[in-house]
Amino acid sequence: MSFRILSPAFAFTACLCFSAAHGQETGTVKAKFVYGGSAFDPTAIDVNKDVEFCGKHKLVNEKLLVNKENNGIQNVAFFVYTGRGGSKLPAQTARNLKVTLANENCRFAPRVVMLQVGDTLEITNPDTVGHNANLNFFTNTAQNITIPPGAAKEIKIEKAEPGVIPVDCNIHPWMRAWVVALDHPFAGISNEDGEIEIKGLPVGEKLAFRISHEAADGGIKEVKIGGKSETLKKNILEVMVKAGVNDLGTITIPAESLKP
Amino acid sequence: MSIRNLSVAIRIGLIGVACCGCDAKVTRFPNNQLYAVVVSKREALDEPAAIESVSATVDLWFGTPDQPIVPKAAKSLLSANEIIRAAGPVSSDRKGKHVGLYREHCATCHGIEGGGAGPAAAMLNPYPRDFRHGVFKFKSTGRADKPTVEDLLSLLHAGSPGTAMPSFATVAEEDRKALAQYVIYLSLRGETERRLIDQCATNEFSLEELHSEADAIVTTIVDSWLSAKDRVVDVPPAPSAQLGVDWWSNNELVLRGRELFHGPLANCASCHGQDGDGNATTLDFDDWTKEYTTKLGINPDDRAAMKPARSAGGLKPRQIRPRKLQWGVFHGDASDESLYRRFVVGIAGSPMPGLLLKDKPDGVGVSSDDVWAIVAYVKSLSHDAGKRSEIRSDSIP
Repeated sequence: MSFRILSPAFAFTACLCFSAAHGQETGTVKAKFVYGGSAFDPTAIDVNKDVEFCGKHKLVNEKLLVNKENNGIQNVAFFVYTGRGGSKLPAQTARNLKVTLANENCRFAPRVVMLQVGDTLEITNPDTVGHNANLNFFTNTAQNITIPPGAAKEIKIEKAEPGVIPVDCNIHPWMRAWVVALDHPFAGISNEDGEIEIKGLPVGEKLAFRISHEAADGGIKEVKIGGKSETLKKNILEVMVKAGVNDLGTITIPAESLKP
Repeated sequence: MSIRNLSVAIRIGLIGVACCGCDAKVTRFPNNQLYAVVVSKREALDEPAAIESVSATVDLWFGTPDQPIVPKAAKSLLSANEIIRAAGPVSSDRKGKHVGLYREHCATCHGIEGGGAGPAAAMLNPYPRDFRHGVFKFKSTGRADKPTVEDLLSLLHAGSPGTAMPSFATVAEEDRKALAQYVIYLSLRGETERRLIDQCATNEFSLEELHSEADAIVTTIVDSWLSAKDRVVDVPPAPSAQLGVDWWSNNELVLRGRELFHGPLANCASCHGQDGDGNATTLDFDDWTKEYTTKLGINPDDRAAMKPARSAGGLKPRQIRPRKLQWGVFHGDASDESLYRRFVVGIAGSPMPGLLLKDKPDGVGVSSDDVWAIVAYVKSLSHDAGKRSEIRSDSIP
């Protein structure tokens, strides 16, 4: 074994020893959210403002996006719930990340933003038309600012929010994003295949995960996990997290719980 | 009408008289059912959030409409004598000094608890303010700040043009002061109730913990009212030094303001329309309405989804329309300073955003000189019809 090969192997072993010595085993939770009905094409948006610029982007209603190939639901927020009846997590160190929410092509990108207390939300506008961002925070300072073309505005997240917070551009009423602000990093947003992955979870205990989607109109009372029905209370799914990967498999949300 | 129907009508009438008379005893403030519905929806609870223990605590802290209490933590903010004088049924003493001022002047529109849904509210557009959110539109402070006491007094004195809020200039000054105090009292009470409903939906409290939570909440809100006077938004001097008292009619300034108004940096025209004609397409609601509709993902036109909120006292959602600036009627204070501030910080509770203010023009924000130019242009839209038509004949950038 050459020295070059030895070195990464050594680093890997050292890493394992370090984790074990400090009892820092963590768990990863994976899941795939799928739609209980037939996939459909999202409807086109009637672009009635800044038509010349916004009209060329073929905008669609993104409230409920279902993948036509595998029925995956995009933009499901899945996170450890620490409110009443939820999990107690040890205090978390701030990540101090900068997370961007762009007013891009007359839509917000991404649609759902995950933030931890201490992070900074950067709102940008790469478009050539003016936008605004109306942040309807409950606990952080509610703000509504114009974001001219090329401008950016940074907002420090100082407190966790009790719910998922809507962000609007009042100039273009079809534009909508959602902000989830938590006091921990254990959250995921499903991708276009409906998949999420949350790493670094504490192990050996049941954790309460909340399933949240803007089209759920509040409550998701029931899901099917691997074909088996599971009743939810307050949109919460309890998961016993073990060290390593915990694959929950396919979580089907019934079509009647989601309104496009 | 049959005798039976007549007797039912009389009975309903009598009940109405008994309940609505100004002298009727009001034993308790109605609790905030609407917010309980909002929280239960937000938290995906099966039932409306339980509010009985919250209401009992709020009653202990704040008393009743006839016998109000100023909580200990609010003694530095509110005068118990003023609150007592503004509360209760309407009457006056031999010298003509009025008591029950709030019910005499305000409750018909703003409701006994300041929930903005008094008996006349449904007829008014915009709806009367719901004080319980602690959000006020027209003030000298920042968007998320409380107004100063002077802001409330000046609104009571001048009224809010273009709305149903009249001027109370004919009401004695000391009465207006008591009313401003009572509005703060109702707002403090309502905001405390809302935050306790939030807390109880997401935490489990013993009675003792609930009471200490109430104390902490009252202290925080009282601080926000007390610190309002330190949060007045600075307004740099208007260019009157260079341009004279009618600085705002300076053609060059107006033209610059017009360019900004229609351009991407200020972007006013996208909501207020070309030349502020109010004809731009918008579909929006105020934050009070959005709380029980779009913020919860409910379409305000969906009658079935709206039912719980409507049954809990939520007023029928009504679109908020950007001001037609050519009318020259501005809600709240229409002074130059006030217009400057609302361009810079926006209008709380409404879709109106604040501008991105920069120390120096940098191509992505506006400078304070730019803001004054927009003030000049907006004023010119209604103040000088001749000038406006002259300007309008030019092409819009």
